[in-house]
Amino acid sequence: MQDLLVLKKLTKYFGGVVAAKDVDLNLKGGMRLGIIGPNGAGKTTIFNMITGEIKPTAGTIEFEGEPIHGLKPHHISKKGIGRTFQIVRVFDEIPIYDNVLIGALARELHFKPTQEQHREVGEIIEMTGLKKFRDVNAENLTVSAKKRVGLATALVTKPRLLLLDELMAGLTFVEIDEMLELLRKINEEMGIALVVVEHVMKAVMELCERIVVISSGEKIAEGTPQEIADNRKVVDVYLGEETK
Amino acid sequence: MEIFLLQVGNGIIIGSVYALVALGLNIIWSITDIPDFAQGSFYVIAAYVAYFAVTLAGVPFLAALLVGMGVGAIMSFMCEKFLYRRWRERTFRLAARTQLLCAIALFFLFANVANALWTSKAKMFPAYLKGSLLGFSYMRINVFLAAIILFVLVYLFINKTKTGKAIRATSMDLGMAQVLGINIDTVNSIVFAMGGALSGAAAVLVSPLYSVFPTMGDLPLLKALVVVILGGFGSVAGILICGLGLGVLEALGAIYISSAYQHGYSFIILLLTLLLRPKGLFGRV
Amino acid sequence: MLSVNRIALAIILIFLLLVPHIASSYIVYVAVLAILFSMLTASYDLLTGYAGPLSFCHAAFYGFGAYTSALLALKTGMSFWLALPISGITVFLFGVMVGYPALRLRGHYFAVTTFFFGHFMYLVFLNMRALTRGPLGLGGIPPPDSIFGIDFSGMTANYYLILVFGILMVGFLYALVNSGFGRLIISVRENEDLAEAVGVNTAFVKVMAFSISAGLAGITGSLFAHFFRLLHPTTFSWMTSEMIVVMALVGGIGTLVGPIIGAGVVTFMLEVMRFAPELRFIIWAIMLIAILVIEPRGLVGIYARIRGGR
Repeated sequence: MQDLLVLKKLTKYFGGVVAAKDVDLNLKGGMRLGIIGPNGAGKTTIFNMITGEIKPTAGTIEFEGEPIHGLKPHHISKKGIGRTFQIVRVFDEIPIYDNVLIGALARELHFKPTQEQHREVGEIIEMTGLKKFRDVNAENLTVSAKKRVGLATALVTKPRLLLLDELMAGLTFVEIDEMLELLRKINEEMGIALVVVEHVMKAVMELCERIVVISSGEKIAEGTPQEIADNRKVVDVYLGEETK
Repeated sequence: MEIFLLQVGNGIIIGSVYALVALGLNIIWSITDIPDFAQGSFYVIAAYVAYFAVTLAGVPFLAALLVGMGVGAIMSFMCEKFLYRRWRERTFRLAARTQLLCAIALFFLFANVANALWTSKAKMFPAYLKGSLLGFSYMRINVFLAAIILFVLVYLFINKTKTGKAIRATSMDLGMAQVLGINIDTVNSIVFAMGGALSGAAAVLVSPLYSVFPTMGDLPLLKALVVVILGGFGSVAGILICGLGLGVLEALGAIYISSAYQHGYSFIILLLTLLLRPKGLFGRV
Repeated sequence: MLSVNRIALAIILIFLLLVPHIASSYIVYVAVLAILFSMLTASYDLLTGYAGPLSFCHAAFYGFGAYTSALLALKTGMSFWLALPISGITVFLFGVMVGYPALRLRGHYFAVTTFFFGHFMYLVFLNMRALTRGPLGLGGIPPPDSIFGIDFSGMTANYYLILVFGILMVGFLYALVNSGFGRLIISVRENEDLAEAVGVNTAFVKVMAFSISAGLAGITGSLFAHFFRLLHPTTFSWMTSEMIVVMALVGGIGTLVGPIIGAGVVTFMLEVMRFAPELRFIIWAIMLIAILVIEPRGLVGIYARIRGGR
């Protein structure tokens, strides 16, 4: 299986503060990877470097064999990487349908959205369980629904890799299970690789094939969920936090 | 050489005016994120009130200066309390913009009120001091001296008093300041009152030099805004340096390049600075 | 567009069509101003209502277009029908030049910078006497030359010409904001970072909105120049830019029809108050503050509130 995303010695300094240091990562197509670690460990910083919001201080990022570090976010999106945000982002004052439609048009601009695009938008809205909110303005939805909108908008851009930043935060147990099912579907039926930053351990353990642990900007462990759960170092790092 | 020094001197004096207004604007902008255009009109009203105090009530200049500062402070305070405060919580997307537009509307409102009440004919503000030094009248030198004194006072207030520290805390982190029990309403009121007082001071100090007229606030406001952006919301000293610097560059440009575009130089300087250093010269944004 | 918006526009349109036949020349002049301001506020709305950034230099582009068109006609004898599109394109390109660096600034910084830019352009119009004759005014601008046998030197024909352009411009803007590209423009306004993350080249979209808005203002300027045939720098000062902002706001930005209504209402009010020039601007400022306090979304917003509480 081809390498989808390769991070080599990825490093970021904010002034004197080390946010990430020499992070290596190797993701194959279709894989489900989790990134966990204490708060402030640098997980979102790594995400932001992959999606172009921040430029790395050192190191490289390659997607499907091409270097993407330092590119602008919209370029990276066009290359096939989609993401959701920790603090959920939507296009507030327009309906859900239009939110997702923007994603489709961003990928392929037409004077008038094509039939094909309308169909895709409809399908994704259905798939993410948003059909009944089709015409509701995004700002009027619950956080959980907004997260689905964010996910839907990212999906319609036809990514091969989805980065999900704390998607489960604030969801009820039932919502978490529903979201996991949706993510599995996205991964298995659409062949989209997932990289998930999470604090909700249940979600990570159940969903991911591989887990990477980041602490103070450095990768301290990598392995299957079971290996990570048994890893002494990881437990230490999480002392005081939830480990399961 | 003599002309050069003379212009530098003129630049420093007019730069002091810019710096004073800029200091007020800067404090307001950095605490509340509002570019308070209205200060330009408090400037005008303060000058008129001081003028009437001196010509009708025979009040000495220093008292008129304090009156002007008071007028500026009160007007500024009222505008914050009854208008800007409404949108402080930023509950809707256009809230920040609404504050800015309100500031601009107030600017036009009071400037035109002055025009309507007292006509556009300039009023000559009587000289309060005779004599000069090295070609600069004492009144002119006073503008610079008064600016320095006010700057020092503001610096001491912001950095050495408890209230000043509360204000600085608010500018750094609003949420944290509230958690610490700092009364944001009070902070805002003080900050706006200070801004108004500084604008009033600048206006009254400059009135004997250039007379009083309804549009006298336009250019100082523009220049002060340039100074604020150039200074990058940094230190009190930074504002002073940028203000004086801008005044000097403008004065020199008027002589050596062209006096017609004198007021355009600030824009060019701003543009160049923003291109090279988007965060301003002393930036902290 | 809501059906009420359509009815409102239809009424306005019918009224405008009848003006030269039912009113005096003075009213026709006022109507022309109202139409020109509608074009300015509508093009302004493209930037501020649909893309997001608040700008204060629209009058600068208006003036740039006016002077360019006038000078082309006066110095090279160019036909209006060529000068107009060339002015539009020139101002558009100028908009790209200015917009590209300026739009990297966010929020208040951008707004304040446009303020300076607008004032700077006014200084240019005022001081480049060789070209613009500054405060003396640039006069003798020829009216549009006849085509299809229609003579435009008379007021009525010229009025209808401007009305036609106005309708075309509004139609163009309507098509644009409802097109795919229009949706991308809106996405930048709603959440710029999200738009960027889903693949929208936000820098490009913003510059395009800014430049198209500018170009349209330039075309409006050209129409102004060839109708009133005399240009004076004060017509293009920051006061005018501010006026455009107020008109757009009073009507309700982000709706196209709102700013047009705002332009009409404010122009009408200002003319009614012509006898008290000092009071005019005071009332206008109070009106703006009132709108901001009561309903920042303008008349359109007030109407929406009455209809169904949004």
